[in-house]
Amino acid sequence: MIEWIREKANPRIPLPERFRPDITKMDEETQVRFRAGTDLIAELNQKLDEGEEIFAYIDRYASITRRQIEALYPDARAILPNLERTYAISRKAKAMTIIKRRERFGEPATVEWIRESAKSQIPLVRR
Amino acid sequence: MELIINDMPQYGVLIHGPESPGFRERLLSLFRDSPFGDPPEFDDDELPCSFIVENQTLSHIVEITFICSPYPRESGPSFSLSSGDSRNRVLNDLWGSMIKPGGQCPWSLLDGYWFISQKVVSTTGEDTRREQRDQEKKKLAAIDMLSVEIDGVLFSDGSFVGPDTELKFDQFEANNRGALDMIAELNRKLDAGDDAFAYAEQCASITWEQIKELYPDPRLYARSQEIVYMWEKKRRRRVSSFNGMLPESRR
Repeated sequence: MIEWIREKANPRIPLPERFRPDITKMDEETQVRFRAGTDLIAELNQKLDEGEEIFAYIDRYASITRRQIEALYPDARAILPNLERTYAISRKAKAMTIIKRRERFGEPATVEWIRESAKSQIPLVRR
Repeated sequence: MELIINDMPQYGVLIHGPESPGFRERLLSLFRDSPFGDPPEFDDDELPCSFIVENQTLSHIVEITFICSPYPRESGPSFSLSSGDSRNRVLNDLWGSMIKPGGQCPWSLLDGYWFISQKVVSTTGEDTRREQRDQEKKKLAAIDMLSVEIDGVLFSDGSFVGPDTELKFDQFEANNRGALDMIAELNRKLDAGDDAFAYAEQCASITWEQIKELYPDPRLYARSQEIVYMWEKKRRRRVSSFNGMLPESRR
């Protein structure tokens, strides 16, 4: 892999020139993505030249959390998964489960189930 | 193809690769007492595409995500495998168990966990499925080595481990919060003597179109070059991480 990182640094293949109009207006973004990739390779090569450990560096980049990204970039939501939508779907799904449960087990049993479910709430924790 | 395994012994989640001693026998024995019935039919060339996940913790594994990265890089892009099981209820309705404490779960890169796609009658038909599998096999055959790395594990006690390059944790959290909030709201309605079921029906009747309208696709929002640049670098980790799993002598 180190060999691969070395190879990728030189020579770099340029992005092809556009022959047709940029209808999707994505050229700029494609160039940014391309630059990010080549910059990372360059950074890794520099670290290798200096005899530094590169995999911890890569891992640090990859493990950056959503909160860290949001703190750094105000427009982070434009690229991250839409949590509001996930939340809304989950609420709808839970409401549907309850309606189905009432159909299947009856109202008193479902009320009991709603009461019981509130007792065992499990918070999510990142270790 | 050779699998390069990167598991998480520090968190009690192990992966046994096809080259581990007695792998085939271990794989077959898992099916003997499984709810999934007889072992799948697999050829010898499918064994290298299989592995076993062992849960050494006291909690159930609810969901697990792997990142698979081929080497050499030119043989294809990285891909993620993810699965959870909500059939066996544990703790409460919110969590299902995928791998019990002390349990093991066989995986196939062709068929998923418990080789499940071989067990499920596909709506696309047997021929189509076989064709897809053959294509997948060909793709894997072109790869010299494939790293299988755990990206994240969600346990039934609510804890989550792993580098989480896919940012799954936040999605689990939002999902969990949505379900818990709904339960809490219904309890409040019951306490107040309101019609909780009318409220549940109202929430259940929200259409997918309405949700999409309220919470548009994030890709529709304007994004700066800075966020695109950072995101791309984060994702490039898959390209570069492979070597971290190789023994020193093979890097």
